[in-house]
This record gives sequence, structure tokens and C-alpha cells, in this order.
Amino acid sequence: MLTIEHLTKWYGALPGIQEVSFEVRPGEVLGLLGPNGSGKSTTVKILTGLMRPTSGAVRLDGRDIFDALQAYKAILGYVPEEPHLYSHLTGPEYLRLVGGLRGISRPALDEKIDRFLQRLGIYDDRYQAISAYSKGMKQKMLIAAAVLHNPHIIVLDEPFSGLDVSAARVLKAFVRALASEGKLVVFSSHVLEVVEQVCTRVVILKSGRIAGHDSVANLRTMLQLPSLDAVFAALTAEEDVESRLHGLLDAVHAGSAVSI
Amino acid sequence: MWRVPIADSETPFALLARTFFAELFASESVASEIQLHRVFVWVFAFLLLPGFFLLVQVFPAYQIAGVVAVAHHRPAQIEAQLNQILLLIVTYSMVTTGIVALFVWDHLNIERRDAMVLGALPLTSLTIVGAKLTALAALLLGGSLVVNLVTAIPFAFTTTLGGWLTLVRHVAACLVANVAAATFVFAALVAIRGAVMLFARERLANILGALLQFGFVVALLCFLIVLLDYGLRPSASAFFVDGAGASVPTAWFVGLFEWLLGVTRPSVDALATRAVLGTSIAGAGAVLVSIAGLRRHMQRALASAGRRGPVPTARMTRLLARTLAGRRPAARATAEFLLLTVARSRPHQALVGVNLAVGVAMIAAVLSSHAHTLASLVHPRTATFWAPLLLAWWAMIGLRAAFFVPAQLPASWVFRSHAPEPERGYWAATRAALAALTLPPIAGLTLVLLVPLVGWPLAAWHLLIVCAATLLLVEVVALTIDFVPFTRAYQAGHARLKTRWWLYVLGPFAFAYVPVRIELHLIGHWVALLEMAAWLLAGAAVLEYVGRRRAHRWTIGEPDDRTDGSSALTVLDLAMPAGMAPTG
Ligand SMILES: Nc1ncnc2c1ncn2[C@@H]1O[C@H](COP(=O)(O)OP(=O)(O)OP(=O)(O)O)[C@@H](O)[C@H]1O
Ligand SMILES: [Mg+2]
Repeated sequence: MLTIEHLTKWYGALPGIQEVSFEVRPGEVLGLLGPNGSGKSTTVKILTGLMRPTSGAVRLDGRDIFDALQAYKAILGYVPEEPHLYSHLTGPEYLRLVGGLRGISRPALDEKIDRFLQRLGIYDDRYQAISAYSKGMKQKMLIAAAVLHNPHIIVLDEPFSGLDVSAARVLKAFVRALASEGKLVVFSSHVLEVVEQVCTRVVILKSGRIAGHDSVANLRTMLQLPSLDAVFAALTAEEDVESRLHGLLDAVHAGSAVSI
Repeated sequence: MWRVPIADSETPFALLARTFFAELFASESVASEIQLHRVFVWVFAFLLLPGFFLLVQVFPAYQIAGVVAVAHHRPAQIEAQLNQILLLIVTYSMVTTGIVALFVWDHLNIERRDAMVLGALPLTSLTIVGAKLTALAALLLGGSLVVNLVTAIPFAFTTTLGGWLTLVRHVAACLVANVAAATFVFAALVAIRGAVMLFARERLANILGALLQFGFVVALLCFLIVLLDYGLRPSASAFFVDGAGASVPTAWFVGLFEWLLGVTRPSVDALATRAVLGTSIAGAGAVLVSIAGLRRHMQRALASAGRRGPVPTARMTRLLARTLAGRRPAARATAEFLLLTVARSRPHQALVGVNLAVGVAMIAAVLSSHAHTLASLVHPRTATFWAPLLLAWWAMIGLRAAFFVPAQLPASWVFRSHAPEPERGYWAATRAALAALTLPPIAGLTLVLLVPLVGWPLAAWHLLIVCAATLLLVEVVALTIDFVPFTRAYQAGHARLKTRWWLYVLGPFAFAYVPVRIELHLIGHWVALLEMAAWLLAGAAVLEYVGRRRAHRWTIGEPDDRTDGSSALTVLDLAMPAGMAPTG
């Protein structure tokens, strides 16, 4: 079990997240939900051990992950928010780099990579540098790299960005299937339907603090609201859509250079 | 009707030209994080160095020659020397412009991205092409004026005896001729690159750019050597000057200079005409190619997402590196990553290339001053034997420098996130990559160079020594690195040229000259030669052991907490939130 205890992260004088606590159990998909800038990625980066919290701890089965970081990283797969890839490498070369760093040796790795590429529909582009890949293809590379070594913990930061409908459907089922194998999955997303379909529990963040934390069904009944959409709006106390829309339209028209 | 009001302060053309100009100084290729202004300072210092030697070597020599000629009543002699100096100055202008143009090689033409971004805006092709050419012209004029003022003014003072008016005329003529020469080179390079991009792949343009860059740097260094020699033995520069017939562009612009000063010889007229014609043709070519390029890009941008095509794979070198890296998958993977990065990143290749160019220039200098005929090279001698070692040295210095320049820094989380343990493999990989990149070409070069000169047996012996020495050097260099190459933010001034210059000077001496002297001494005593190779290899083995022991100290990329990917490290990140200005 992964326990997150009172995580706080300051970026200089700016608070990233404050006092965030929750836990992830094996076999469960935990959704991290929140408006832009609410601290989802900050939480995720600390979870992966890539960034240290200002205070608080992340424990795996009671043990602080930063005490045995390398061992922790070895069982972790991470899909970052931004597709920072070595774009001068081709897809297979990139996966071979990742697999090699993970300690997977060659013939097995090559075969594995071929299967990934075929299943993800990038096999035909295997001789192209990643710089020539589309956004969705890059996202697929990130996902493949994250699960190449059959990790026990999987952390996905907005994994659906850029994926087409069918790829997104596959990924949703894939995430559920991984969890049902007993893995721990943490999943941050803006797409409420996806979270509703995939996650067993959600943590709703707002301005770096937890605004709600429960199973989707519980949250709905508790707040007596019909959809996660409404729950989200209520918990994050967003301005209503109408007034934001008008504000935006005003901004579009203000000082316009072109008129008809 | 659509009406597009123009901002009061700036026209779209000016804005665009300014943006294109700024783009010339921004690098977004693989090595985006190197601090460009520092590089520019170095490049500029490098470009101005020969100008300095012109001032301290050539002009005083000319003045002395002038006094002698006047005393002996031989005006023809001084005439000839004046022409030589002019040739030197014009060559200087052309070579420096070439280097500047090659420095911004990737931006010489309108890129596909420009077409995609600008194509969506209400701008005419004329505006876009005009703005691009204006930006290039600004760079050309700015650069060549600085370089040429440095030479034109002292030149005029040295060569004119008349009053102010003559002086001004000389400065002006010198500037015009040199700027014309610079324009010729610059426009020709723009046209050549544009044409290659039109008719062939980008890959070819990149290779061509790398070759030309290398050629121009070697030319500049050789030029420097000629200048150094000039004061000592004016005749040494004769080979450089005499060849300049009417078909060589340098001579055209000397003709232009004389024509501007009012010299009326038919030969001068002919040369000046060629200069004007050549510059016009090159300029027109650059304009036409730019227009055609934009058209082409517009069509392609609309048609499809134009892929780049296959990338270089360096298969044999990779195989060698994998083998040398040992059995650990992480070491093998890292070695391959290093090789592929060197094979595909132009900025890194450029660094290696510039260092190699220094080596080539050193060899050329020694050959030109010590070997007067080809026949004199046919028996074993330092001038030829040390060439492979010298190149190995400079290649290694270049590779090491390249390793310190990051490649796609934001992607280095790959190493931090995916590497499960502090790896001894990184050291092994780095040393394997160094060896795989240097050994085969150096060995090949040794054979190609020496077999025809001294025959198989001697060449084979030398090959043994060269390989052993190179391996030793690989081990030494691997000991001076303690991070995965390309994954660490560039630390300005790591080369510490101010305190370590002696290393760069003594290195070639200790690594190339001394071993070759010893080897030449031992030729014929085969056992002793074998012993020498064994000693070198034993040294390498000891260092290998030390490296293995130290390998666990290697770090992956950045120390913690600067780890949040892109933000803190990217120098020119306009999206950076306030208060997150890069430190250090
Ligand atoms: N590198 C950084 N430097 C300074 N502040 C940062 C940095 N990264 C994040 N922050 C701040 O921390 C807060 C949380 O950011 P975070 O990236 O975690 O949000 P997020 O929920 O992932 O947003 P999004 O939905 O846009 O991805 C924001 O207020 C942001 O401004
Ligand atoms: Mg985020």
C-alpha cells in the first residue's frame, strides 16, 4: 500500500501543494482530479520520487520511498505530463534505451518492443525519429516506456492527452486491467468521464489542498449531485461556466485588430 | 471588407525581420541549453584573432618592405607585396563570413515551420522573404563591418602616404571590396543551402553544412598559420597568394578594390567586372531560392505533415560500443544513446569538428614548413607519424567538450526515472562510446596515410602504437567525467580555458610528439616497440581499474530538486512563472 502523508511542497515562496494525504491500495485506480494549477502534477512528481517534498512523506508498505529510492523506482512506471522524449531517437531506440536502463536484456527486450509498437500502431513509423511523431504517438511512446518492465506501481499524469478515441478506449481498459492484476495505479486527469469510468476512488485537489476524497459513488450521494461533473464544480467552487464564458468572449472582442 | 490595421509602432515587416534576426541567435536544436552568448563571444574572438595578426605581423613587415623598396628604387616589389596583403585581407573577410554563415547554417533559409506559422497569417510571400533576407543582411553587414573595419583602417594608414582624402578613399574602397566579398560568400552559401533543401533531403543539407563548416574552420586556421609565418618568412605565404588567378574569387575582389581606387588596367577591369557579376549572381540566387523555398514549404505544409525520413544509425560503431560496454543492459543502452546522439546532433558534431580542425591545421602547418617535397615524406618521420595521434587527441578533446553540452535536457528525466540503480554502467558506456567513436577512424586513417608512404610493416607497427595510445587517452578522458554525458545542464566556463590552456598546448606534445619520437627511435628494435605498446596498454589497464572503482560515484543528470523537468533549467523559457528565474 502506498501512503501519502501530509505532503507539502513549496516552489520558492509559491505553494505547490499543502498537507495532501491519501492512500492507494493494490488493485485500485486512484484518480487525481483538480483544475489547472491545483497541484496534481506536483503530487505525482513527488510520488515518483523525482522531486522531494518540502515536508511530509510517501511510504510504500510503511517504508519511506526516499530511503530506498532506487528499489522503489525499479518497480515504478511513470507517464509524465509533458512528452519530453529524446526526440532524435526513433521509437524502438528510445524504448531500447529505457528497457536497457531497466536492466532488461536484449533479445527479450527487442521482442517486447516489437509487440508494443505493433499493438500501439506505431510499428510502421519505427524508422522515424520521434521528432517526426504526432502528439498522440509521443504519448503512446511514454505509455509504452512506463510499462515496459511490468511495474508494480503505475503513475499516469494526464495520459489521455493527444490520444484518439480508440486509443483512449484501449488505455482505459488497459488501466483497469493492470489494476485488477493487483497493481497500484495513480491517475491524474481532467477528463471527468474517464475518471468516472476508470477510477475506484478520487482525490479532488483545489489550490494545492484536498477538497474531497472518496469513492466516486460516495461523493455523488454525499453531495446529492447527479454527476462527477457537478461534484467537481461544487467541491472546487469554480465560478459558473456561464459567467466565465462571457468573460472570455469579452476578452476576445476587446481591442480586436480585425473588424468586419 | 477585411481591414487589417497596422500597429502604430511597427510594421509586420519590421516585426518579422526582427524576429528572424533574433532567431539567428537562438538555438533550439538538440543542444538548446548551451549559453549562446558565450559561444558567440568565443566565435567572435576566434574570428578576430587573424585580424590581430594582420595588424602585428603583416602591416609592419609591409612597412619595412616599403622603406627598403623606396631606398632601392624598386616600386614593383612593393606593388607585389601590396597585392599580397590585399589578397590576405580579402581572404580573411571571405573566410570569416563563411564561418559566421555556417554558424547559423540551420537558419539560412526559410524553414518549414516558418511557412506553417506564417502561412496562416495575412502576409504576402514578399513580406516573408523580404524580412528573412533583411535579417540575414543585417547579420552579414554587422559581422563583416566589424571584421573589416579592424583591417581596413590600419591598412589604409599603412599603405597611403597622401592626405586625408586619399586615406578616406582607401578605407572606403577597402570596406566596399571586402563587404562585397563577404556578401558573395554569404549569398552563395544561402543559395547553395536553399538549393540543396529544394532538391534533396534536409539530411544532405546537414552533412553539407558540417563539411563546409569544417572546411572553413580549417581554412581560417591555415590562414592564421600563414599569417604567423608571414613576418618571419614572407615567401612562405607565396603558395597561398600565387595561385590566385583570375578564376579565384579572392582575386576578383582585389581587382574591385584597385578599380575603386581608379587603377585603369584591363586586367583590373576584368577582375572588377567578375566581382560585381559574381556578387550579383550569388545575391539573385539567394533571393530566388528563398522565394522558391517558401513556395515549396507552403505547398508541403498544406499537403501533408512531411516526415523527415530515416535517420543515421551508425550501426557498426554502435555494435562496437555495445561490445566494449560490457554485459550490463544499462551500460549497453547508454552507450548506444551516446553514439546516436553524436551521430544525429549537429551542434555536438560541430564541437568535435572545430577541435578536429585545429588538429588538421596543426598537421598542415608542420607539413608545409618541414616537408618540401612529397619524396621527403617517404621515410618514417614525425611530421607524418604523429598525424593520427594528433587527430586522436583533438577528437577526444572535442568529444569530451561535446559531452558537457546537454542534449534535450528536459528529456533527461528518462535516466533519473528509469534507471533503477546508481550504475557502474554509465562509466563503462562513456568509455566504450569514446573508444568506438575514435578508434576505428583513427586506425583507418593511420593505414590510409602511412601504407602508401612507408609500406605495410611500418604502418602496422605504428597502428599498434596508435591504438594503444588512443586507448590510454580514452581511459584518461573517461576519468575526467562523472555524469551521463548530454544529461547535465551546461555549466558555463567548464572548459576553464584561462587556467587550463597549457593542457591544450602541452597535450598534443605529450600525447603525439613524445611517443612518436620514442617510436621512431625504436624502429628496428621490434621487441622494444612491443614493450612500448605493452606499457601503454598496461597504463590503460590501470586506469580502467581506477575508473571501475570510481564508477559508483557517477551521478545521473541533475542533483535532486532541480528535477522538475523543464522549468528551472531552460534558459529561454518565456512561459516561466515569475520568481522562477534560472539561477546560476
Ligand atoms: N516548477 C515550478 N515552479 C514554480 N511553481 C510551480 C512549478 N511547478 C508547479 N508550480 C506551481 O504549483 C502549483 C501546482 O502546479 P501543478 O503543475 O502541480 O498543477 P496541475 O494540477 O498539474 O495543473 P495542470 O492541470 O495544468 O497540469 C501551481 O500553482 C503552479 O504554479
Ligand atoms: Mg499537471
